[in-house]
Amino acid sequence: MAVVIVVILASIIGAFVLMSKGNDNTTGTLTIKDDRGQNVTIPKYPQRIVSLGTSFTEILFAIGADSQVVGVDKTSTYPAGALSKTNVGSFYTLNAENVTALEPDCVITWTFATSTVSTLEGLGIPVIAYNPTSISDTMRVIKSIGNATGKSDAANSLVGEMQDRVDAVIETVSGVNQEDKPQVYFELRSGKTVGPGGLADELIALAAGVNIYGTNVSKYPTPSLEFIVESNPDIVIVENQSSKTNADIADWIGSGVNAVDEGKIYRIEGAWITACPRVVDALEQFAQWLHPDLFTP
Amino acid sequence: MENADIGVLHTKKLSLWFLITVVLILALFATVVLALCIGAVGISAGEILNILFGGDASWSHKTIILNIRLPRVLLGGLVGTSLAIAGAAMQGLFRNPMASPYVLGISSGAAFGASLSIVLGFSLVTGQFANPVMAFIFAFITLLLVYNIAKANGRVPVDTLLLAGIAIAAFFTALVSFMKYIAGEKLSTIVFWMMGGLWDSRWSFFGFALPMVVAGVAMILIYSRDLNVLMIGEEHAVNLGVNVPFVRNVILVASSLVTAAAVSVSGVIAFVGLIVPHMMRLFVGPDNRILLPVSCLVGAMFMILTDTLARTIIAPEELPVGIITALLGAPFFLYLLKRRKGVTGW
Repeated sequence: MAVVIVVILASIIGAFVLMSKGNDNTTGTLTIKDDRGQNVTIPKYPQRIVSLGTSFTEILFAIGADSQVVGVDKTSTYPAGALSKTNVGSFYTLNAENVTALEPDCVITWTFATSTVSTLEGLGIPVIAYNPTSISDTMRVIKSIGNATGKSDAANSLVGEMQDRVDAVIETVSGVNQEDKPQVYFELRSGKTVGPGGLADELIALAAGVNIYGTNVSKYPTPSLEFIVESNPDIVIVENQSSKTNADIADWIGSGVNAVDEGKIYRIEGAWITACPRVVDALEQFAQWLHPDLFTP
Repeated sequence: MENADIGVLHTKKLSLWFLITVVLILALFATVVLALCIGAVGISAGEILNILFGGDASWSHKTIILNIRLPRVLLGGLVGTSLAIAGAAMQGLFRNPMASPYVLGISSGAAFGASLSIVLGFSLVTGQFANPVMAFIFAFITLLLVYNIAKANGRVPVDTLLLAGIAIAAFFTALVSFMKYIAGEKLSTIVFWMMGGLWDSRWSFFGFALPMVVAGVAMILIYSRDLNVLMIGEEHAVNLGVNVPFVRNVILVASSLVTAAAVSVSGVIAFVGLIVPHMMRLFVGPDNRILLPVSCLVGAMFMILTDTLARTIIAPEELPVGIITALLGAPFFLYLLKRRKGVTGW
């Protein structure tokens, strides 16, 4: 019995001793507060970043920090430069070997990949976890990543540009009355729709539309055909990666509904509706579909 | 044939069993070493040996071998051992070849516990043990529920246990479906957890599972002879002096303990607990005194080998190990069955 206890304790102590041996870093360090509220200490500035999440990869490239990135997850396929970085697999079922082999000095990922985050931190790798769920969150994260990588100037100018474009859209639709706002039904590739708190919901609202699933539902509700028909949406927007064609959707919803009768079923690139710089492209696209009279394409 | 002396036969049998056990232990050791040498990142065997004996190497290679692969291989062995012996014990206890470690619905209960932690962030502890602790607790809640439902007039007939297990499993599965529905972006996390896999392995989980698995395995092995007698039938067992309720409870609790430990750190890995005992029965027969120990050893090897495949076959990505155990295990088992048809009963 004593032998068993000693062996177990030894293995646990051994694990902790080994874990504490992190990389040697002779340059300065800085502390970033991430979305878990944790203060993460990273070198100033990290040169071997692993990005787990296509949103973060896009942001890193957009602010010119791509030379500091050594690895990305398998969903990071934009921009084209991301494909030349080492692919470490899926960030849900991450094989930590792939990340460790790159000897990263910083990992950026989503807060909800909790086991990935704790595994990597357990190996002594600093992890910055974000959870941007809105356009303003996205801009905040861009700035934070800019601070973390020494690209604050580029980040601030990118955010400024994004904010200008968002403001321009809001300005243009500011005169639209409540009764003139089109009813919009939005569908993800999984067949679910987006409710309050979802990014697409925010985009619809900013573009002066009304999401038919905008109130009293969960964040990703499964849509009910009866409810869609009764709400009579004027516009239907579906994620381009959905396997349903526009014709399939028109058949499913049926004629008599405005969007189907007027042929206003549009497709949006799924990659634009994430927390990345192109979300502003999505906003402008939504605005143009919802109010073609106010926006010249 | 002459009447051989029963004592001589007995000694021969014990020596054979001893030999088999020693060979399997050596094979297990070799499997562990092999698994350490293979991985998503190529590291030479020489360097691995160097690292294992405390030599110097790059931080990344040391971390990979000592903090990623070693705990993963050892945890895989632990999980394989647990599931195999629990499966064998359940098959013996219920006298049913289709029994598996999950027959009492423990896996569904554990999945529900884990989903509470993953989706609602509700757990008794925070940090890395949030999911495992909830899974473990709900595994035992499930056992208690099933046991109490099946209890009637102070007796717990195994058939009722089986049916209660099916019903409770269905109940918890429905609850898990609901959790999946409200999960939002955490859906993938639950789905992958339930598919089962060892990508999350770490020393702390090994430390968590080890004492429980050792205790549970020991308890089952001690009562392996009584389990043999129970398999003839409960009434006969009573007449032969076996304390049936006590042995049954010990086997149930011990099997649930090791299954809960395995599931809480690696999710619901299917098939191992069902197939490994059957495979070993084809080789060593149904006597639990040899079947249970060899199931432990072969279960560990099976899990380690399939996990090695799972983490390398589509590197840098990982395949959930349950897919490999099913795809490889089923045809291999069918092949064994065909070759040895009629040699031993199930």
